[in-house]
Amino acid sequence: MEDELQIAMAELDEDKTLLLVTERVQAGYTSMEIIESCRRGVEIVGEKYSDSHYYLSDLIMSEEILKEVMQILEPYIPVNAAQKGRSIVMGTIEGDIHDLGKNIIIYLLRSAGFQVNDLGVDVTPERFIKAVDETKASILGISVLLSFCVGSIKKVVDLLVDAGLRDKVKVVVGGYPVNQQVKEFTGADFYANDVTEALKIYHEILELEESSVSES
Amino acid sequence: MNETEKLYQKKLERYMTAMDCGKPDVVPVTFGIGEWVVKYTGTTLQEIYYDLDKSNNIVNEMLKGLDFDIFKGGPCLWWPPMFDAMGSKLYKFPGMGVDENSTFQFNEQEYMKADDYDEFIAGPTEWLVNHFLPNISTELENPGSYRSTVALIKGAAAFAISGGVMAAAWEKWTVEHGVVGQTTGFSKAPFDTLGDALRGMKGVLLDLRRRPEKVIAACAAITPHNINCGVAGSGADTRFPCFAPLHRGAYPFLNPKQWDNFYWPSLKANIEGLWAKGKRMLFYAEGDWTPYLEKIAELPDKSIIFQIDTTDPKKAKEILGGRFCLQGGVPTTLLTYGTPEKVKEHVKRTIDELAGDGGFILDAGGVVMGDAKQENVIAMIEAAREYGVY
Repeated sequence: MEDELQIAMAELDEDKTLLLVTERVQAGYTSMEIIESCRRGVEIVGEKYSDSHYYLSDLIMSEEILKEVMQILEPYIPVNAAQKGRSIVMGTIEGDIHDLGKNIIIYLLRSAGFQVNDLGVDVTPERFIKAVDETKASILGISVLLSFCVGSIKKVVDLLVDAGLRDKVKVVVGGYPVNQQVKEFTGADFYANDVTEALKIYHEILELEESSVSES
Repeated sequence: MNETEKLYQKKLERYMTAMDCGKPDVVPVTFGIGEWVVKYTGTTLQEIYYDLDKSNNIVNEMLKGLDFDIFKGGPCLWWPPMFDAMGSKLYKFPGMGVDENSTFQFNEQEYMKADDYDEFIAGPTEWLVNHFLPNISTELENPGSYRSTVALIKGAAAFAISGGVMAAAWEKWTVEHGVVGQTTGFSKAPFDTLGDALRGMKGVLLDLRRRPEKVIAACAAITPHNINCGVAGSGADTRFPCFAPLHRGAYPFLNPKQWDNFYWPSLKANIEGLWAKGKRMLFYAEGDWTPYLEKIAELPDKSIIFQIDTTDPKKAKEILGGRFCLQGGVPTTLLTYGTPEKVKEHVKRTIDELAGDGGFILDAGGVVMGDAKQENVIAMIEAAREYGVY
């Protein structure tokens, strides 16, 4: 069955999406049902982005629409319905205040069911370590745009080793300037400079973890 | 003509020939002294930014004995006191909002709101004075007040002071070292003026769907100002191109339809307007512009120098080569993580691939930041001399 709301979301039709959400709330749909339709729409947006049908401007639009949807739904969401997905800590590295790429990946990860602890921008290596330790996250995502801030990412990885946390967490660096050299220099496990690659990496890490859990 | 003047003429000739897609005696090579220099001078970045004399002396010392053609300038893009005098919210400078050795960063906000479009379109400069300046500067919040007037005078004086100091420094570098400056004047894509400075990236990208006609009208209103900025800012000089750092036109910010409808028409009009006055643009295509090369090829021959950052160099050569001078070829990451040997290998390969029958200037792909290694930057210009003879 074709879900009109899912399609409106996937086509980035802001007015129609919001109208349908309001109608469904009035018609007695649960907030979770409505969110699920939107989530499937966002999934299509992500696919269209990987196929180069959508670009960054389209991703940002979909993020904006989903935010508005959540505002409408907020009063109807049960208190204990927080997502219980795999936990990720993420932030933009110390010295760098760019957050667009980080926000987009967080938005897509959350839509895919991951639980993301967003530390914001200009995050010191120490704060990353503290957050990993406290949340027991298995993935640490570090975003960077300014290439001269890459040194601080290496510091995060070094501090993870010192804290005895290095083998408990996979480190993914993301952003415009990262490449194989940056990955090697910082000691990160993965790198991505495109949101599609990044999503693939997060899903792969998840699958790896699940298979190692089922083996043990 | 003394020896330095002869040297200057030789380098100028190389640059002019390459810009016109011709083949000089060697591949011209650029050099800029970026923020990386502070690692080797025992100073902080804050000192370099705030003390122009200190920064200019460092540049002067470094230029001695280096062999390159086109100079891109010293480490400071801005002199922060101008912004400090106005209580500017636009930037965080080394030691002022960020660490003393951290580069300056732009604090992007929606300084212009969606509701401001109509007033802006009706009179861009008037809107800037009445609304933008108060929005971006704490000291200018109440236009016409004593505080605001004094701050405006101080800011304008600081701008004039830095202009004078920098002009004198460039004269010294030119006279003493025979280097040729790369650009005169400054311009931008109208869409970037709107997106970077006024609406913010998110604001402008959402506007594309929510109020597309306003975006187009605003870009059209900005275009004559950006043409004028490129020409007037250089005192009507037309030998050298104006510098135009280009942002949101890079892949993958806009989808192709948005690029065609919103980004390109006003940028094209801007370039054609400049070219009609004989002024070229250094089309500083930061990031990847590969999908748009065919469109860029619609420009009048030689009206731009196309900067290759992460654009596919082979495609750039294939589509733009012969009609437009190409510049770039050395990835900035290589200057940070590479070694002098790797840089030299890369330069050789780049020259083989791109220099061909002329119309090429060897340069770092993008802005070389504080993380670059001096030995790699020097290796780039040395390798250019070694492999760049036509």
